[in-house]
This record gives sequence, C-alpha cells and structure tokens, in this order.
Amino acid sequence: MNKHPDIMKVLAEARPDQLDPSGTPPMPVPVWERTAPARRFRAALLVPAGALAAVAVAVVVAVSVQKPAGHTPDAAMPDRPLTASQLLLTAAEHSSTDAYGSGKYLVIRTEDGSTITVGTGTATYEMTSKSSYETWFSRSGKEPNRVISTRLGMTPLTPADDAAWRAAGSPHQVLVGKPLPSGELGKGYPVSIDGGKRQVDSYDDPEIYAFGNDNVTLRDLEKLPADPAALKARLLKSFDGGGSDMPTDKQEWLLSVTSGLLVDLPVSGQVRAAGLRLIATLPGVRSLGAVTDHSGRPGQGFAFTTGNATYGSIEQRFVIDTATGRALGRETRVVKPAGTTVRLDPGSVLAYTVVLEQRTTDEAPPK
Amino acid sequence: MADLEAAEEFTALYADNHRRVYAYAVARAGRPLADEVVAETFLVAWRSFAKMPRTAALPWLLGVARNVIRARNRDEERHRLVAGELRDWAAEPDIADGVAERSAVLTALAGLSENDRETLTLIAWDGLSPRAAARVVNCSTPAFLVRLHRARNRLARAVAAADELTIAKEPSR
Repeated sequence: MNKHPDIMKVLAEARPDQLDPSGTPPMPVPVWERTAPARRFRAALLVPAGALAAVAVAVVVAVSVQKPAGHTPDAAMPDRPLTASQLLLTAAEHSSTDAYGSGKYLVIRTEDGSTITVGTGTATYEMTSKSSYETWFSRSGKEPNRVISTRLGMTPLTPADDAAWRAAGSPHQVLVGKPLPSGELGKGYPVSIDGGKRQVDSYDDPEIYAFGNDNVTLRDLEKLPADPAALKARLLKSFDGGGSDMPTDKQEWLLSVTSGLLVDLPVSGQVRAAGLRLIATLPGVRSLGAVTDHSGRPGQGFAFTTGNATYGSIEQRFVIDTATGRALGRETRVVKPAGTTVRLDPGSVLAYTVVLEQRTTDEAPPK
Repeated sequence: MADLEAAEEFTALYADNHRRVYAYAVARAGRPLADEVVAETFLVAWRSFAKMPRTAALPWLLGVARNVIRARNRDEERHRLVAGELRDWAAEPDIADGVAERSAVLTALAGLSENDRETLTLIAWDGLSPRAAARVVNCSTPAFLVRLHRARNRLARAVAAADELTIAKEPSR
C-alpha cells in the first residue's frame, strides 16, 4: 500500500501554480502617507518629524532655492544683533523662571513643512509638503500617547515647479522617492498632494524620544539635569558616532541634540535654561539677530552648521522667544550639497517646524 | 527617522513576503478572497509592526493572515470553497509528468479536514519548518509534529485509496 514513501515530496511537487499571484499588487498599506508606528519620536534633522510621517520618504530632499513664504530669518536686520551668547543667556535667564505645569499630559502642537522632489512620468519637480501635528504624551506612561495629524497638502514650490506640475497634467497623485546617499532618488511611491482627514493614532511605546539614535522615555527626559555641564555629560552618554541624519562630529552632534530638545519637547524651564547655556558654550554658534519665524512671529535667531557624508552640510536655524526662552521654530537649509542633498542648490530650505504650542494639561486628549 | 525606517522596512517586508502570504491565503480561503486577505493582513501587520519579531516575519505574517481569514469567513464555507478549487485544479490537464499522481494528491487533499490540510500545506507548499509552522498555528513544535505525522498518514491513505479506485477503473493499467 505504501506506494508513496514520501507523501510530503509528492504533495510539494503538486503545489498548484494558482497559489502564485500573477504580479505584484501595489502595497495595500499607504505607509508613506500614514504616521508610522512610532517607535520613537524625534524630529529628524533634515525634515521635521511631522513631515516624515506625512510623506515618510520626503526626508532629505528640497531643491531649488526659494525663500519661505513670508519672512526669512536674516542676520542683516536693522537692529544691532545680540551676540549668540547674549541671546542664549538672556533666553536661559527667562527660561529658568518659566513654570513647568504639573498636568498629566505634555501637549505639543506644530506645523511642519518640507520640500520634496516628486515625479510624474519622467518629469520631476519640487513641492512643499505641510502637515500639522498635535501630540499628547502621557507623563505617567499609563495612558497611551496620542498623535493627531492632518496632512495639509503639497503645493509646487516655485513658479517653475508649478509650470512643470501643470505640464504634467496637474496630477493630484505624484510619485515620491526617497533621496539616497548616492544622490539618486529611490523607487517612487504614489502620494496624494491633497490634504487629508484629521487622523488620530495612539501609541503605547514608552520610548517617545531619542537623543540621536538612543531611544529614551519621558521619564528619562524628566530626569535631565538642570546644570549645563551635567546635561552635556548626560547627552553625550547617548553619542554613538552619529551618522544617517545625525552629525558624526561630537560637538555638532551635541549641538543638534541639545537644540532639538528646545523645539521638539516641552522640557522644564530649568532644563531648557541649561540647554541654552550649554549651547552658548559650544563652538560654531552664530547669532542671526532679530528674526521672524515661518508664521511671522518675532524672535531672536541662532544658527550652526552640521554635516556628515550622508547629506553634506546643512545649516540649522532656531528662533527663540527671548521673553520666555521658548523656541518658536527651526529651519534647516543646505549649505554644501552632497549625498542626499547633492541635487540641491546651497541655500535651499530642507524643512521647517513652527512650534505652535507646548504645554502640560490634565485634560483628556481629543479622540 | 523611525517613521522612515519603519516605512522602508515594511515595504521590504511586503516585497519579500506578499507572494507567500498570497499563497497561504489561496490555500486557506480560495482565490476569490486571497487578494482581500493579503491586503487586510498587511494592514493589520502595519498597525502592529513595532511588535513584529524581526527574525520570524513570515510565520508571524501567516499567523496574522490566519486570524484575518478566520474572522472573515465561516469555516464550512471556506472549506467548501478551497476543496472545490483543489478538485478543479486536480482535474486540470497538466503537461508535466506525474499528472495522475498530482491529481490524486490534490483530490486527496481536498477530502481532508481543514486542519490536516493546513498542517500539510504549511510544510509542503509554504515551505516552513515545523517550528515556524507551529508558530503560525500557535502550538508547540512537538504538538505540531504530532499533527503533521497524523495528517501525513491520512493523506497517504487517501492517495492510496484514490489510486486503487483509478486502477480498478482502468484495468488495462
């Protein structure tokens, strides 16, 4: 009876061809348009966290030079500019008296924008992608964190880009490919240029932020020391050599991580003061004087340049409200194009973040 | 850049595995439902991507697909659909060698229980190790090996019975 000594082999050979799909269907999940499962929340240097989520591929692009709508931080303002350390220390002074609420949630609202290269057929052109984000972090870690995001749509960057977009038939779906370190664009994924519905996501992951590539919890953030030297020592414990979107130079890395803290999260006024004082001690920080942020709010600007082999060198600009020591926003621009930014002109805006609100509250997060 | 990395990683996961999830879905739910099952599986997978074991992605995906299939369709209906498809394929002319044998084994497979069929095809068609297959059906590896042993015997008997029937019908052979 045992005519089939290895029935499994026979079965394997009988595997029907019908089990194989006829082709590769498009990925059913629009991962490039959704907020990804956030294993950590840190604004990438080259593109704000928000823009990443909105068009995850967008990262390092940005092309032809264009002044951001409205105002451009400009060192040549009529008023005699404060030196970098003057403005940082003034901001620190005011920060240290800025009360830190005791609410159950930290709330951060931002508008993020980034310039990305998109394609239609063989044509490529630049568009600005904007999103708004409202993030609620549970301070106890007992409630899920919540992110309410809205894609605000993509628009052609310059009149030339607008013409290219129109010549392509004014498509509402364009292809977005990730800029690669080789200077080329990766495989394009279809992305809608229209704004999206308000989207609410919940995350349980306690690691909500990262110093460079080192994931940290809210507890870790709240334990940050309020002394500049101690803060420096703590942050440098997370230094891993940088790379990817982080500078590889240790000083530049420290500048990026410390100033990122000002914009990304509502740390206590004392910790922020320590951060500002720490930045004032680091080389390479320039004052931009009196400037306005992307939404036209006045503040004092400072900037520094960071780089690595992946993206060349970029300038990071910060606008601080010296009256409170709080950050109004950040902008990154190409200085020396290389790697992922090699196609861009010096001066191109890569991305910006406008901090609309940072507070603590006992309210329940919106549903 | 966790978002970007996750999106890229997930895209690679899809590229590497969607054919295998599709194959599993066809064998378990029939071709008419397979595309939907694949789509829903990857949607569920994306939502819980952070929890995915990176070293055992395929068993994890098939486990998700298994739950998706179970939640969607009544067992009997699914069984009827898949068994019907297997019989259709068994009847299809095939220019390859061993046509009769292939047809017999597919017919025999169609006659087995859904559990036996799943156990056998996870190994023979999906190419999983017993350990990986055990993860998909959420049992221990030893328990799976017992199931596999029994399912093999039942398949072998069913094939032998079909062969005898064929021989009886064609005395010239």
